Amino acid sequence: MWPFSLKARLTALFVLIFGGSLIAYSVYIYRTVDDVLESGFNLQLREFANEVGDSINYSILWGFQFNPSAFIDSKKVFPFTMREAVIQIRSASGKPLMSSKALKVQALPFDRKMYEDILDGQYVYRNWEASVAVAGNSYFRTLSFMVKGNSDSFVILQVAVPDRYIRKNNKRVFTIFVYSIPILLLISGFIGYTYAGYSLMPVNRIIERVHSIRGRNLSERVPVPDVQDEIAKLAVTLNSMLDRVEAAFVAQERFVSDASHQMKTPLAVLKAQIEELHMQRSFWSDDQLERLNSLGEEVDSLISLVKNLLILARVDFGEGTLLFSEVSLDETVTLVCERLSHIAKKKNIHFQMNLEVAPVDDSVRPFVVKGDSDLLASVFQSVIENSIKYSPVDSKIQIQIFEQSENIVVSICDEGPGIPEEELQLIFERFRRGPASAKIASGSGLGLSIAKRISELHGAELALSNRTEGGLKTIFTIKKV
Amino acid sequence: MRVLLVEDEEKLSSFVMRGLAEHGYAVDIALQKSEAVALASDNEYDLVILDVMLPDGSGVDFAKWMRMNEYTGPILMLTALSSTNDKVKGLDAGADDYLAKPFAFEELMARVRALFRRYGEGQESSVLEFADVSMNLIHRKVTRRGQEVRLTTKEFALLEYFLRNAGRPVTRTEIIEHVWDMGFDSGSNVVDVYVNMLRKKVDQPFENKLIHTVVGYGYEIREE
Repeated sequence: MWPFSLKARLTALFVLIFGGSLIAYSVYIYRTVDDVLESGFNLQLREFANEVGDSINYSILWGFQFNPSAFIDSKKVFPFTMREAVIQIRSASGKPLMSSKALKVQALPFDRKMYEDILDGQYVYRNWEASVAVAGNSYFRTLSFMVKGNSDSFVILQVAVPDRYIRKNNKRVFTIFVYSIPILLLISGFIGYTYAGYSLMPVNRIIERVHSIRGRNLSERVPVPDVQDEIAKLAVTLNSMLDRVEAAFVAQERFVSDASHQMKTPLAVLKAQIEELHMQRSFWSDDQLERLNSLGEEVDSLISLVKNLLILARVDFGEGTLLFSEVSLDETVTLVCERLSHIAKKKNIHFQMNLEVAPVDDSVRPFVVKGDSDLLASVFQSVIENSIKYSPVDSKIQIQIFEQSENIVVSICDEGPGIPEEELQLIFERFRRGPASAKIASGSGLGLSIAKRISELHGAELALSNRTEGGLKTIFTIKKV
Repeated sequence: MRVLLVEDEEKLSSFVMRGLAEHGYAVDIALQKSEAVALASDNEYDLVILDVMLPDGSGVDFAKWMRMNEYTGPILMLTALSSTNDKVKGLDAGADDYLAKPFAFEELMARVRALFRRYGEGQESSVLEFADVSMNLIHRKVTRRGQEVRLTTKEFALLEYFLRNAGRPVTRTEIIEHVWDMGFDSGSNVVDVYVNMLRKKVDQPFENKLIHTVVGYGYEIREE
């Protein structure tokens, strides 16, 4: 996985390629400019040196006679001045014979290889750095060559002139490159980044839209850009996928709604008729009454199974089907208790409900969470119904709702037998019931696993534990709004 | 007490009818919306029990039609659908309560009793008023000095109970019995917490306080 966005990667690649070729090109240009400048300079140096050579009068008799006035009058223009030039004359064997005063004790560079090349008749150019500044300059370019005398005799003339001119121009070219390359790269990088961002904007819009599409707004579609590019194709493809998702979703919703009606109404009739038979208890023998009771229990468990399966059909479809709104958790729990109070009354079970509002809480309404109120109610319904089932007659179910840092906690404690530790892990599996439950309580065994799943969809936590004083403790923790 | 029962499932409607008759109610059954409309135009009813899905229309529409024709009694909806959306639709249409199928008859009777308790045996206007507080029972809206006060279901029920007993102190036990349809243990603090929540919404933003604690007894709504 790349840690950076496509935009950043495209820009980096662009800058890398552009920057690399720009640098390579600049180096080439710099070299060429350097060569051109140097050969031009060499040419002028040679011309100058020749004139100097011409002004040397050499005779065995007089020794050297150097007459600078011979070329000072010259109209020629050189990229250096006469005064800065230094001259050294060496004998045919290479020994220094005479040099400009400015040189003082220093000698212009001379070595074996140079000597041989000079004997060959070549003009030898060298760069020379003076260890002590000569007439204000340290960097020179030297030219050494043979100056023939009258007969076979000759001397070696070395002329050195400051190469300030080349250096200055080279430096200028170098400076141009050093400053312009980063600036160019920065500008092109910025433009590249902006442009990449601009081109990818439709993709980001698609991402945002797809993110926002939930069960409620499934009919929304991804925006298709107005051009015929890959992004438009992607958007069209996504939209056709959304069509299919929506169709599946609608079919699922219709199934749940149809199934609710088709299954619940006959069950309601069945339940009503059993109840009616039950009301006429004087007609029935004890045996018949017992069978009627068990019939009633089976119908009840069938009803709860249907309800749970329908909830499961919604929940398993995922987050998209949830209708999130602000829910007052205390009201949801109270509503569930009211719904279950007719079962609780039969066993004379009382609810002890305590709401702990923080004294500093200034909000108008505590215990507000974001959730699907039906599904949250079904969580508490499963838990409290379970507690009622397993609670002994004349007992109490304690319900506490309180805030804990960023969470709201609902704790539900009963006085029943609890759950063996080894079963606690498995209790949330589908179609599982407490081991002793088979006889005591009827139920589909789906309730708690659904409750767990709903909690997960709400980012909430549902945990069961045994109380030390006996009974089961259920803790539901959810983030508050 | 005359009840109109609108339910297309014959077995279920006859069962509910027999049950209600046993409790001393006179029941008319309509198996279709058109039948219900005909019956409601000819007779005065104290309670309407209404299935949401009818063969020739929706119970929600019938509830709306009843309210439009100035029926002020309670409406209880029965339905096999049980999502919040359906409930909200029903309540918006003017229903007072909502019972999901399949239900136990005891549960239905409990709801019916609770509705009659709330409507004070049916001879009641749909608006409760006290001092500058006004409560519309049909639209379930509360205003104080013209400003809407948004209450949750239980807060609404609690204020309604206070308003119905304005000027008389009520005990916590009375409140529990009338507002919460369940057996609360005496260790519960629900009433006090809810009274405080109600105070925050109804009293706090205004100058004169209406909800007062009667020490050692309970609460009372009165003007100072």
